Amino acid sequence: QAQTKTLKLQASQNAGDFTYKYLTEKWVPILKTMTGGTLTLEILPTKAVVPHKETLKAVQTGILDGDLNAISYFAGIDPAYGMIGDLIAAFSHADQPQMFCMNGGGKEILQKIHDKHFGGKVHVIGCSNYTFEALVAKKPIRSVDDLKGLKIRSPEGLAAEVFRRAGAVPVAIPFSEVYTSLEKGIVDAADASAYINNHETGLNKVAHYPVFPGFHSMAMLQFVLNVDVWKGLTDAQRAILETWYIAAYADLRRHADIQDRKQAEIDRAGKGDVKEIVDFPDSERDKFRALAVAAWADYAKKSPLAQETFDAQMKFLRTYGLVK
Amino acid sequence: MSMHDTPSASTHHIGGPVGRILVAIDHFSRFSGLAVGQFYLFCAAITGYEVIARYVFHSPTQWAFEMVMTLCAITWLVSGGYVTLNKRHIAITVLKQYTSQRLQWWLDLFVYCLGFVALYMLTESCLDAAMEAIIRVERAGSAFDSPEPTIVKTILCFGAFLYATQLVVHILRHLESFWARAAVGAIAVACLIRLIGLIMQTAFGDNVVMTTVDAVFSVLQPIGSFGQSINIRSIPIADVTIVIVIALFVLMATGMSLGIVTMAVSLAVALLYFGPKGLFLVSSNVYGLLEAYPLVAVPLFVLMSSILERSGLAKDLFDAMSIFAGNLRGGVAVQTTAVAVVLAAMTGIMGGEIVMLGLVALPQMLRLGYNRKLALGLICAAGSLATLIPPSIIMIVYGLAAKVALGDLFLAGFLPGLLLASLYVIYTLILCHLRPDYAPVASEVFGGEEKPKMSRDRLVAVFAALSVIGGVMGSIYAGIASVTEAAGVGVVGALAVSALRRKCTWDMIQGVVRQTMVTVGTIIWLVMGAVSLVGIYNIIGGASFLKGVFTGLDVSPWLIILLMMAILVVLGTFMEWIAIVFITVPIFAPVVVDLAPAMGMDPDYIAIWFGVLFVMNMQIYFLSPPFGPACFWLKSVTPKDVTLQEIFGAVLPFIALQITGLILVMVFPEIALFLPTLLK
Ligand code: NA
Ligand code: NA
Repeated sequence: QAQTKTLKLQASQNAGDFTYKYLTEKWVPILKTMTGGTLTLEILPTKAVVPHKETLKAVQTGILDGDLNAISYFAGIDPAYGMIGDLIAAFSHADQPQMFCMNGGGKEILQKIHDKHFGGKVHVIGCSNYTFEALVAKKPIRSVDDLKGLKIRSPEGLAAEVFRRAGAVPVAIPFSEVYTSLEKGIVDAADASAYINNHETGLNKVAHYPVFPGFHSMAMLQFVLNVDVWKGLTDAQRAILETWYIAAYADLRRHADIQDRKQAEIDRAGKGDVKEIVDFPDSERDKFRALAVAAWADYAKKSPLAQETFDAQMKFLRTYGLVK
Repeated sequence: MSMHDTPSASTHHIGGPVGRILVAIDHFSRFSGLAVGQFYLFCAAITGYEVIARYVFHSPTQWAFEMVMTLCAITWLVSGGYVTLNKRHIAITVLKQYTSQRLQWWLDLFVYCLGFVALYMLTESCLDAAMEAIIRVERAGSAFDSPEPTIVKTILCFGAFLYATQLVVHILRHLESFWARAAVGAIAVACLIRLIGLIMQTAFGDNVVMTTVDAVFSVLQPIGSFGQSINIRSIPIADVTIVIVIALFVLMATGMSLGIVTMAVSLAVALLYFGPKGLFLVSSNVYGLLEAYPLVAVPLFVLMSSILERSGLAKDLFDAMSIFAGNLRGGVAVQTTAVAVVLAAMTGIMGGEIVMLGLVALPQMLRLGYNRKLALGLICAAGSLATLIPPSIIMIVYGLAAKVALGDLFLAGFLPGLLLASLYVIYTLILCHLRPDYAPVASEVFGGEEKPKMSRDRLVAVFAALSVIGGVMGSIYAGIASVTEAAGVGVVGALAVSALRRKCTWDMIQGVVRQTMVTVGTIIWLVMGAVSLVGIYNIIGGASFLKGVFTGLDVSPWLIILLMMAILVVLGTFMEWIAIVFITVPIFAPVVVDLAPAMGMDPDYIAIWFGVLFVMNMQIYFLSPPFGPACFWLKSVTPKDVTLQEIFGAVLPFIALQITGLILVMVFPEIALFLPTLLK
């Protein structure tokens, strides 16, 4: 019986969150089986070991073996992280962000950004979204014009900029205050999470016109390991980890997507909390994306790596005809 | 006896140029502390402005949030120098009292030296992070995108440096022999050169200064690799846990400030497991704490209650409540409890309220010939309600550690607070009925009823203060403002009340700013030590180990809750509450949430209910000897002939009442959860 090696990672979710449980309860045991019991993961909830914006440095120094963190947390270090971490309004299908990352050059760029800021000590295994978000709204948003004067919670820099260009008023409030802010009309809409999560946290109870699927943000998560830890694995273990990651996150996202749609069906039948699930038409999505592209292009000027990220993203989006 | 570490040995005067440098350092600590204290006023003003911008002008700012966080962080960190200069860090000095003068001198020296080593290591680790942030100009990454992380990381390094420097000053004044002083001075200078060398190395690459310094410090290398050489990772986590607990207790017993105790233990564990690079665990967690928005409410609530306190409100309130006393036997005790409940709704922290009651209510009770033990016990118990009846600093810190919504927690504390107050009143009335000599009525003493006269102005002021409290609490419950914003508005309201009382002078404002800066400075350095220990304990597998111990217990969930309560009571006899929160809550809270289905409760509500049980348990901690802070506070304002032993004896029946209340809320969770459920 070979000894089991345990990699300690810090995730971006709380211990009770769906994503956290799905990974730890379903996919970690699968990894152990795949590696014949030689490798397993200990996934620690967010902030368990270091603050959420400090995980990369902890991976660099070898305190954490790796992280499963949200990339946009590091936007303050380099705008490139904000760019790759949540390119607002870019994608039209839930699988596209992972495709961009794993097959469209995203992973290589992320590796390059990490190499610049963390001394070549962080190895990227992959990056992916884990859901396709729904926009929480108190009034129907059917067009880009409806965004004018709308107070929308969007704490991230790039998202706030895009909404501002659409004529909305971005408000930076912490996630913990989204519920009461919607309830009291401090904001009319909020950048929150997946449809099912918004349902479960009760946001749809106070905001009756969710836009689903959303047209706004798509948070990107990463799986990185300390380089020495990575080098210490066998070739087989490395190949398994890479494959495992792609499979686990695609499964997670598709599972969540079905949950989203099931709940949306219940709500559409008038059995839920919402009055109407607003469909944002493709023509308006294109219009909003055109506004966003201009904002991305300006944001990209903030650093050379952000520019490089932007170019790669545009190339990928062009293949799908999403941008010109 | 004191809860602050007042030095037992005398300090020595040092003259000459060295002496002048030491005095200059003192002046700098004092000046910088008082200067940054003013930032709390700005924080209150900005928060108030944000609320107005949002509701009156419908245009919330992008900058208020980050600005307030930055200003608060600066104040917390820089106040470390002032707090150290005045030796106001919280420590347990009870045990030290029983040792000889000579031993005390050595203990003090040890405490200072270990403190210096810990703070120096923190400084160096923070310097690394600060230099990195400065070179990158690390920003918040938000819509406002200020360089807040760069500023806070730099100030953190400076704050730790100031604290360490002030400790060197203490050591030099503590020592008598010239050679000992020279040695300490040489070490301090070597450390300073090393810090400068590190800065130069980051800025200009390797240099001769750093190579020399590295050579000198290389003698310490075996310490860094000690953990590796004993193969620390092969030691079972259960054993490591026991060693950590013993180390904490032993260091606390030396009278070391509790923040340094937890920080030193954190640093030691980090060094053992990860070598020097492990110090990042400590500095990053300390930094992370400074970005916790709910903590901003702490100084604002302390500021609000200090202002109301200095407006002479306690006396007015006591007189206004005299309708409760009448000619009822035990009436003044009822009056005192009523005043305590109202004051509790204005204060978030235990201490000030007991002092106010001790100054206003105790003389009245003693003058009327009340039984002294009854009066002392009641004031300690009722005065402690400040942290159960919202607002409450303990709840803020609990909410932070357990990730619970603060508004709900505040609401949940209200009825249990009134329950305890009722128990105190019922007990007192029954006791006075059985023993009429315990509480004479006014007519028996003076032969007639005497009623204090209140001017219209004073009544208006009382009414205004009650409105401020009502407004603050109401806006939280109605969801109009966050807890932090409500606290900011509360400060503005409290200033208005004091203006109404014509007490709003420059001196008063400077007084409350200083008081707030010191109180919060002591709390924050304690919390910083505690959070770093939690992070380290998680990575070495401690949290999952302890969780396993609890979930492995094959007993009724009620027994597990009871066991947790018992552990809290025991810890509460000798430990400081912040240390208790951070040691127990991260372990207990997830276990309790997991117990929810077995107990037929909602996971969200069970965390709130447990939070209330926790805070009620801390009520017991305030009173229970030997470390009973409420008793220390009361002692500071009682007549000379009242001994601490007498106070400890007097609170015992009230501890029994607190336990009764705790059991009631445990058996009937509705007492806590009624209001939060109602207002959802
Ligand atoms: Na209170
Ligand atoms: Na105690």
